[in-house]
Order: sequence, then C-alpha cells, then structure tokens
Amino acid sequence: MNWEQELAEQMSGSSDYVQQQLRIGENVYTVCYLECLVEANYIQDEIVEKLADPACRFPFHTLETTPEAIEAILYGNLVIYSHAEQVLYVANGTGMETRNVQESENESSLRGPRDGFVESVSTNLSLIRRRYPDPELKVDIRQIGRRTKTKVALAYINGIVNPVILDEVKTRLSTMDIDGVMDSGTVEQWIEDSWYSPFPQTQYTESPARVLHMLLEGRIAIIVDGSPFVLIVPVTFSMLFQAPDDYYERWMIGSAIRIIRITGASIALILPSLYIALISYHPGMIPTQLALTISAARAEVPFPSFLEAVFMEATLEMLREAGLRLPKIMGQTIGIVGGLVIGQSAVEAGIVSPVLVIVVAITAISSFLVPAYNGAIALRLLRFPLMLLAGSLGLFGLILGILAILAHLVSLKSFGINYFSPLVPYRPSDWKDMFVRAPLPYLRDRPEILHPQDKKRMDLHKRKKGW
Amino acid sequence: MIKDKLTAPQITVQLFAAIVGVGILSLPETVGNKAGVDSWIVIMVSGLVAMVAVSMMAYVGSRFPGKGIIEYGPFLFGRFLGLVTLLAFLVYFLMFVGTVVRISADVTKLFLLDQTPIEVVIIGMLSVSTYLIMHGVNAIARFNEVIQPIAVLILLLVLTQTVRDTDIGRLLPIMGDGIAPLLHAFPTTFFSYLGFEILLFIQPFMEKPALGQKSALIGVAATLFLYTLVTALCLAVLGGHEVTLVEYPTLAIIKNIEVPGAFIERLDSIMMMVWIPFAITTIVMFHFCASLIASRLLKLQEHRVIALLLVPIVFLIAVLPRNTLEVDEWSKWSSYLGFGLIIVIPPCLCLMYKWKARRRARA
Repeated sequence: MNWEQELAEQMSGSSDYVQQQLRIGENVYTVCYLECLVEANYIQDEIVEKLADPACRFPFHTLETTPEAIEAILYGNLVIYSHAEQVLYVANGTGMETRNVQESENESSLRGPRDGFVESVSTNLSLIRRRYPDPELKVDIRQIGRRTKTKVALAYINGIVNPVILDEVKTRLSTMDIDGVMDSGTVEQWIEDSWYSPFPQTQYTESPARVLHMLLEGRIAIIVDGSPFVLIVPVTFSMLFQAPDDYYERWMIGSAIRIIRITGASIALILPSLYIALISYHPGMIPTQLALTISAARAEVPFPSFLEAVFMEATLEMLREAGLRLPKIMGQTIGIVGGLVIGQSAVEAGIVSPVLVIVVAITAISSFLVPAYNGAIALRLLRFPLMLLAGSLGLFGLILGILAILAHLVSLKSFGINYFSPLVPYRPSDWKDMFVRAPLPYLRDRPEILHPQDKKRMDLHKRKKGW
Repeated sequence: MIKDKLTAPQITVQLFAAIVGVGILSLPETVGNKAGVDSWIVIMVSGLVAMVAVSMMAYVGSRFPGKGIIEYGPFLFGRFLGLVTLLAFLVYFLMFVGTVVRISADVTKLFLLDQTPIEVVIIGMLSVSTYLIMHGVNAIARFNEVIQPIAVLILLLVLTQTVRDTDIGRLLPIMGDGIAPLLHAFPTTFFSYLGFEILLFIQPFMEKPALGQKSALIGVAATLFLYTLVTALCLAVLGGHEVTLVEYPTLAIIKNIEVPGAFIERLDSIMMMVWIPFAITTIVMFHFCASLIASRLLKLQEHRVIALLLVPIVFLIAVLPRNTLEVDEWSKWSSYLGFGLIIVIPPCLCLMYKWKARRRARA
C-alpha cells in the first residue's frame, strides 16, 4: 500500500506511532495513531466494537490525501483504512490529557463566575460558546507557527465588532511567521503595536465571562491552544484598572473600588520618588512638624535618601519575585524574612529610616491593587527611572518623568484605538465606564471608541416593574 | 478612527496650551508696571483683540481645508512674500522657544533647583518636549487634553485659597488715570497672548476645519478668563503698587496663603508643579510649528528629523543670554517680532483672500 508506506516513512523515528492491522470478520482494517495521544482502551472499547458491528455505519468522516491523514494523526485522531471499501476514515481519538476546568488562581473574584480557561483551545471555546449560543458568535481558527502549527482561534461577534479593527487583527495574525507559539504571549508580542513600550497593548484574562463581556463591547478575543490566557484586543489604558467584579457588584462599590485602584497605581508610581525629591531637594515643602519627624528619624541613616530608597525598593522587587516562584509554603518564609529581617532589622541597624519603610510598604500594597498584572509590573518598573530622575533633579525631574510617561501613553495605540482613549480624545459618552462605573442605565451604549456596528446595548423603555 | 485628525476640543486645548505658558507667573507685574490697577481691563481688551485676530486666521484657514499657511501663504502673498512670511515665523518661533525655555529654566532654578546648572534644566525640558514632538501633532493634542485641564483645575483650586486675602477696594478706581495708560500698556499685554498664531499651522490637521473658528475662540477666551482672574486676584491681594515690586506676583499671592488646619503648608510648590506642564506645552507647540515650517520649506514629508535638528539651535538660543536682563531683551525682540506678525498677517490674509476670491469670481 502506497499511502501506508508513506505514512510510516513520515512518522519514522517516532516510536509512539502505531500502525496495526485489525481483522474483524471478513474485513481488514489498518489503524494508525499515536499511542501517546489515544487511550489504549478507547480502540478496544469503541473502535473495534463499532467496526465489528455490521449494522453500524461509520460516523467518521473520510480523508483524501496523506498530509491530511498525518495532520489528523498528529492532532490525536485515529486514521482507519478499510481494505474492503478502500476508503480512509478518521475517527476522533480521546485521551488527550488536559487540565479540568477549575477556578483561576490569578484572577480571583469575589463575585462572578468561577470557571477559568484551560490549555485546550476547544475546551476554552466551549466555555465561551456555552455562554453565547448564537450563530453570530464567529470563531475563526487558524494555524500559526511554522513548526508547531498551533491552533489560534479568533472570536468575535458579528454585527457588533468593527470590521476595520477585525481586518487589522486578521492581517496581523495571518502575517505571523514564527517557528513556535508556546503561549498567547508569543502572539501578543507579535501583533502588538509598539515593541518598545513597557505597557501591555493587549489584555489577557482567564475568565470566560470576562471574554464574553469584552466581545459584547465589540472587542476581539484571541484564544491560543496551549494557553489558558485569552487575549483581548483592542485594549485601552483604563482597562488595566477594571475587574469583572466592578460590573457584577452595585455601581457605587464598583466605582469606589476603581478609584482606589487608580489612586493605588499613582501612589505606586510616584510615592518613592516624591519621598526622594522632598527629602533631598525640597525639605522646605514638607510641613514643618512632619519635616522635623522625618529628619529626626533620618538622623542616623548614613545614605542619601536616593540610595536608601533604591535599596529598599529593589529589595521589595526581589522579595516579590522570589515569592512568586517559590512553593506556597515557602512563601511565608519569604514574608517573614522580608518583613522582620529586612524591614525591622534594617531600621534598628540604622541603615534605613522607618519613614522609608512605611513608604516602601505603602508602595508595595498599592502596586498590588492594579488587577492587570502586566500593567502593574509596567508601573512598578517605571518607578525606578522616576526615582533616578527625582534623585538627580528633584521635584522638577519627577514632573518631567511623569510628563514623559504621559507623552508615551498618549502616543500609544492598540489596533488603531488610542491607548489613552476614551479620556483623550475627549469622548464624554464613554467616560461613564472609565474612572467610575456608572449605574446600569448609563451604560446603555457600547464603547463609542470602538465604533461598534450595533451601538445600543439595552432598551430601557422595556424595563417594567410589577407595580 | 485609524487615521487621527484633530477634533474641535483639541484645537481649543492646543491654543490654550500654546498661549498660557511661562508668562502667567509674571503677567500681573509686567502689565501692572504700565497699567496699574486697571491691568485686568487691558488684559481683557487685548484678549478681545486676540480673539478678533484668531477668528480672521480661522476664517482664512477654513477656506483652505487641509491646507495651512505653509501652503496657502505663498498662494495668497505670492511666492516671495509668502516665503518671507514663513521664514519670519520660523525665526520668531525658534527665538520664542529659546526664550521660553530659558525663562522656564530660570524660574525652575530659582524656586526648585538652586544648585543645578541651567544647562541641565534646559536639557531636561527639551528632552521631554522633543520626545513628545516626535510623536506628532495628534499625540501633542492628546497630551494637552490630559494635562491642561488637570493643571487648570489645580491652579484654580489653589487660587480659591487666595480669595480670603483679597480686598476689592484695591482694584479701584477703575480707569482713574484715563485711557492713555491703558493704550500704552496694550503692546506689552498683548505679548502674553502670543501663541494663538499656531492655529495657522495646526488648522489643516483638523477633522472639520470649519469648526476651527469656534474652538479657537473658546481657547483664547479661556485664556482671557484665566489671565484676568489671575491679574485681578494679584491686584486685589497685593494692590497696584506692590504688584510691580515682586517679580512673580502669582507665586507671591500663593505663597501668602495660610490654610488653617491643612496638611499642606506651602501651596506654591503645587503651583510650580502646575506651572512646569504649562511651560513645557508652550515649548512643544512652538517647537513643533517651527519644525513643521522648516520641514515643509525643505519639502520633507516628516517633521521629526528637523525637530531633532532644531533642538541644538533652541538650546543655543536658550543659553546665549548671560543674565536675566539679556533674557528680557531677547524676549522683548522675539515678542515684537511675534506681535508684528500676528497684527499684520491675519488682516492681510483676509484681504488677500477676499481680493483673490473677487478676482476669481469676476474672471
């Protein structure tokens, strides 16, 4: 058999490739599969049984070419050749090991759906599809990766999504030429607008409900096989401060929490540099009483405030990174080392001032307020250049630094959408879901910045109460 | 959506950003020297004159959609005179940027960094402004849209605290010396409105150039309001004579504030934080327009290379004056040049446009 040899040749060197002949009744079948991708019992229980039953029609679809057959095998399917009919069939194999759908650890929410994406693109799609049983939810699956041929699915809602943005996303995805796609992060970095920016230009999420929310706003989801993180584009800066809970909880709470997050992000960015600038350049600007307290506390410290702050902030980042990779049980040790040894002992030894420890602690807490980890880390890293500026040019340097960051942010774009929109250019109609989350009736329209095809989200006139 | 165009609010904010700059700290003093307690009247009147001039510019600009004075200037004035006009604008812009950078650096040095060499402060400012210019007119507009309202809001909040110290009586008598000192003060006052001429250069980037007039008028009116408020407050707090004795009356009245029970003791530090963005945005607008003219004159598509090449020139202009007196001299000359340009150019543009239009209609 020509194709049998061809298959065997292509798969030669793979010991897990199985090509075996089954004689069932009068007919002879050749079954080809990859051992590791197909459960052993499955062939015995399902396939052989079905083949043996003369009444059973093949529920499998047929194949024409060898490359098709190879692809089917590599994706964990069975290829069955019926010698009597001289037809190639493909049967879905089971037994691809995947993680069960479980609660996401990185994106925990107090209120809202708990299920999280897993590494399988089909499971992830099923999680979305189940929430949106409508043919208008389009899923465009393509293979990306010169060698890995990873499945990448593009999900959007036809009739809402802006076709211009959709085309742009499709173009960028189709021009991807890279040998392997390990995670959605690979895709993200290929399609993003600016490579030289610390800020994330796509958003990732593990929550299907959140993806659906974004799809309904007119955004596009990119699901990559092998990654539990689904990308959402286009993204704006304000989305970094939004969490799904904001929408599920009542609006005052949602808004208040958002304001806290934004305040936290600003504190995390500027507080250490403000400390440096005020202590070393403009002590006169601190209220007298406070200035006296601080200088009394700093009297023992041998370092300039810049070095002192950089030491402590760097230590904080090191602790954070160390805690991230360690097993959870070890994490507590890190906490003790960080809190007691470094904080308290450093103060007692007179190396840093207690005021600075408070500053560092506040910075740390505030930086964890930003829900989007990739956004939070960008802000945390930018803290260091700002500290350098504040250390060299004082308050003036700090303001220059902030202006430079702002200049960078307003110049960024995500798939043609201004990163800093809807704040600028002014779109007051979208401000209702930016710093605050307005009550439901005000969120009647989809975000205008995305120019969705269908603008209205709800019809308030239909709302009736029983009495 | 994909291709950015300036919106009407952006034009308003751009003009505001270009006009309000370093001058706001010293404005009451410069005007007060000439017009005394009636400074605020002069400021209002010159603001109205500026509004007339800006509406003329916007009128001509809206007749040439997608074109700025760089394109229609040579068409209306003839090739030679058009070129001369543009070169005059270029020289004026560069000198203006240089002096503004220098004055900002001087003030920064005075209030924030008394030990730092002035060159370092200048390089710091220029690097931020150039970085922003590199991103183009739309990014500049968005930047202004973020920073200007915040800065104005903080400034107004700080100014509310000065109201306690005011005495309206100090503003009296209105026009006690007749109209002559007002006329005498007019040119100096008008300098503080320099900046709205950038409309000639940014109007072609507008989405709907027809809206330019309204937006520009709002921008100048907002400046007029802010200037009048600041000057009136300074006069009402310090009085007509004292205003002329302090170099930066606006800072002086803010320093004077004592907020009972407040944590923040010195509001002037907040004022400085507001003032640096004001200065930088002015620098950005003028530097951008200068590089726009230069790049168009050299028939380049991009303004970026030119913008970078202009940085050393601006730097030199900024560091050349040896002391404040020389800075004042430079500033005076660039202001006279600008004053001449924006008093002469808008009516000329209007007249030439009308004349050409009539000739075309007759032909």
